[in-house]
Amino acid sequence: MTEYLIALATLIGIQTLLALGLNLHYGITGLVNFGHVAFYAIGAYSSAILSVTLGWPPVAGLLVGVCLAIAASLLIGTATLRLREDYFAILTLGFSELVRLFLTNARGLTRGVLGISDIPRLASIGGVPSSHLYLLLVVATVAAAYAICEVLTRSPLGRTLRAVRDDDVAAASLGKDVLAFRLTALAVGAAIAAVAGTLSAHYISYVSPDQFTPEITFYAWMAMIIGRPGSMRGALLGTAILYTVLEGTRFAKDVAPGLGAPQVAAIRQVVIGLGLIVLTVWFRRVGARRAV
Amino acid sequence: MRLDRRRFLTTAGVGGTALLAGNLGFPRAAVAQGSGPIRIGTLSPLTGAGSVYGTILANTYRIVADDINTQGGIGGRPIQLLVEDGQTNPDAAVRAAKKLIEVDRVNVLLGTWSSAVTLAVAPLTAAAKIPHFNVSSSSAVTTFQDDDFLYRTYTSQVLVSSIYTTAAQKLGFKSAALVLLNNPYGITLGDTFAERFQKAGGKITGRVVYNPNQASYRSEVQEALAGKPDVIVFGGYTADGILVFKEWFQLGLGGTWMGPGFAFNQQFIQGIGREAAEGIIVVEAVPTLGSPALAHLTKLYRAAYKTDPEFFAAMAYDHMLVVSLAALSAKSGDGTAIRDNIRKVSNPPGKTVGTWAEAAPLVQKGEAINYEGASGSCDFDAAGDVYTDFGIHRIKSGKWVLEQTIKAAEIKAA
Amino acid sequence: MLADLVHLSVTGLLIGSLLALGAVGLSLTFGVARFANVAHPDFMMLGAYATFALNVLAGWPFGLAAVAGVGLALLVGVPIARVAYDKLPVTSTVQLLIISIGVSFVLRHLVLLLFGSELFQYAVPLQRAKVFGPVRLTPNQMATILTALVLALALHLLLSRTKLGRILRAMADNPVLCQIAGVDVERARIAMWVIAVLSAAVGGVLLGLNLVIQPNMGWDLIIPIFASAILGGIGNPYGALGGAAVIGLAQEWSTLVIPSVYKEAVAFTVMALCLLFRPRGIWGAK
Repeated sequence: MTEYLIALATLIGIQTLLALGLNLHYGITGLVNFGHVAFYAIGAYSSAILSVTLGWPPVAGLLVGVCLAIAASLLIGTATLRLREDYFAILTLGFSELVRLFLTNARGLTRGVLGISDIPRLASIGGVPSSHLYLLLVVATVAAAYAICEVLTRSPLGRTLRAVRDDDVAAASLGKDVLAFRLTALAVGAAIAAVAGTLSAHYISYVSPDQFTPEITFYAWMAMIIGRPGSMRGALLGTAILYTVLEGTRFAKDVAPGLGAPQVAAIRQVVIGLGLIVLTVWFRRVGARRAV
Repeated sequence: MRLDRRRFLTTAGVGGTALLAGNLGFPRAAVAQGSGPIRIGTLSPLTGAGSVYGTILANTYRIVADDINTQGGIGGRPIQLLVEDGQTNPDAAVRAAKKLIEVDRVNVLLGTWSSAVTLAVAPLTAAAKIPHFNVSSSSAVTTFQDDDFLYRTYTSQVLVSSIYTTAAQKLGFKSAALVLLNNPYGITLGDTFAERFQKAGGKITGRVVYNPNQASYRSEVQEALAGKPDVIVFGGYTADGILVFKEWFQLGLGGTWMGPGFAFNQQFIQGIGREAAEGIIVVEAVPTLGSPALAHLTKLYRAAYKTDPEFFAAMAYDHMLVVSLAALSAKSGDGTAIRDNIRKVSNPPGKTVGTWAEAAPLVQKGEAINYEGASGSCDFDAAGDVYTDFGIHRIKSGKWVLEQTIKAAEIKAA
Repeated sequence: MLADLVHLSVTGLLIGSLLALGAVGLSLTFGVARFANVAHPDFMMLGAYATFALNVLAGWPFGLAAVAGVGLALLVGVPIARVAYDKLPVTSTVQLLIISIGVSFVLRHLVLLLFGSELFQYAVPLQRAKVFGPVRLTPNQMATILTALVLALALHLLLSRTKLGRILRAMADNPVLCQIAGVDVERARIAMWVIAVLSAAVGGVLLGLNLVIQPNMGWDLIIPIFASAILGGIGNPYGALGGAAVIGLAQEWSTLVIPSVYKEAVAFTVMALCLLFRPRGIWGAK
């Protein structure tokens, strides 16, 4: 039981990093990023390739992953930040699928659909990987990411931007600084997602392209919306709630038989979708106002 | 924030109650004492890319476990199934496996489908010392260091490719094109077949990899067949096989198809029509046809689901029978004890059996048995892999007709 | 080489026809309702499953099942769209965008719940292609291309020649003014959703006929469909037809120079370039 709870907590920690980064993108800056999983995948694969194929230490994979994610985010950012938010959403979604397509087919680099196995587990005590220690590592990372996000949010420009987030014109009148801030937020959020990818790769010790479907992005959206976009504390709490509920359904189905497992699995996803709709309506302050 | 907190508390309450109920239902002591149910966890994918096959596995585990339970269970102990969704996703599967192992304390774990999930879960089952049966095909499953806890009933594609090479030679094919699904099974099959076939003097005229959810397969098929090969080796499943084959048929291109029986099954023949299926070469394990195990499974499966069992259903039947017989032989639900009895019941020597009704009394009398399954002979080698006699069949009037047999020994030698 | 090119072009146009049937409705709602309905391709899936249920499960002949199936998809899809996109108290287009993600989740998994994850096909016999020189097409494939053309033409006439069309175009240009001018916006929106779901459902029926029926059949095409709509110019449904043809052709032609597994990336690349350099679409020169 303890081991299971530790696994759940580790997972929540890693997913929290995604929600924090996304919150920086959307909650603070208003960027509708539907391709967050791409940065997560970049982090995970950088770590996997460097540590398994090249035998480099985990830190190298982490740094390369973070740098690649930042580079990718800046590339997308400078090219498309001026686009309408719905175009930005579709483009980022497409980008994440492009990354997955690349991971699936660039067999020389990523081993394609076979995935990369035997990624070294971290946080060992006397050569034996310790799940407790790994959880500690994850928690420390979350704390650091949380601090960075809060600092950025509370910076003068962050505050101003949050204040004028609901008004595009006012934001635009702030001029060049806004673009710079948005790029910073985009890069920092992407970097945090890459760190999450590294942590996940060294935890599961296996990466394959089908781990990085758009579902991951939308779970992070769900977590952020539960916790209210814009609130970093909310992102922490939202992820915890989301995954506790998701995992809770495993037990609910054990004590409430009658439904087959495939049905329960489908119902879970239906509930996720309904939850997304209801909460989006509930928290009206989602996103910039626009004449409809 | 008030709302959030209330939601959180409610959720935590529900989760906590569920946890408690799950544990109270089956006190741990009962399992340790060797009475109470044998707890079998299943982790086949019920959502995601593998759900088509994972659902078949899960459905079959259910009916076979029920069948054994109505015959008195494993030496009086009923099988309790604990079903989790692997979601075709290693992250989710690891969590589900942790739950099955840590919370439900399962005695064995069955049914991981994708190689990714199998390889992510295998370290957990090995550490927990419980047997883990999978249907993955990657060669990494063979080499994985698992303390002999990892078994599969799916013949490694490395092996299958040598069977295909032998079959192609026996049928006199000089050139081949490969049409492969982009997953570990298709890719491994294609790579190893190409290597062996070329070494044997054959020529590969084209190699096309397709993704399962494409908007069209026309250009892929056209590209693969540009070199006019004698044989088209297919590495995919039934549903995508129908699509690819349809494009080929509609385009009116030549060549003979050769592929696995779990792809070119009755559903496939129905899907494309008898006429179009005429002459397709099916390479499949021999004992499956007409074996008592398959006959019994077919009876159970038809009664429950109104259709004939697929290859994946046959493997699920074999998993359940092998672990149940091993547990019966071990007189214990302990994972290590079950592992130590797996080869005793599944490998020769012993009386050949295929159903629980036949096998259980013999095992209880302490007689040696050799389980011959619905998916193959289920004789596990040191790595937990299976070797089976394969047959070369041709589809004639909608039925497989056996033409030649390739012996397991012949395959090992190659 | 020339035969290859002809063959790829035919395949490209066939795929383009399927994409077009998804893209025209998307383009219309994107223009009029002013948000990107990510669940739009899932309306295609609804049409396919409704037809499958009537054709295979209820045993109706395919033609009848297809017509009734599109009707059934309308009965399910239009109310869902009305409730989710028109009735909920939302204040921003981003909310609608996120809601559409939720709708997509719900639709795909409800179908998974009802039908399971099996891959289905209609009960129609396999056809041989008719050969016209280097061109090979089955009757069903010809019907697919023809349907896309006819539907796009009908939509063009509807938008350019009828009162409803004028209202919809006016709403796309200036919704506030429409309301002030006393236009029955509610009715126009119902009409808009009917057109959108109808064209998508027809596309879905044909998609199922050409491929296989599964819960993610619409979602898997989301990027090429959006690319077609954006390329054709948002709010320009017949532009979407051209956009879809370009995407279909570009994907197939690309296989001459890059491995075919990467052809899905082509739609994305074309879309990205279009958004960066011609955000009004390739036809909407200004």
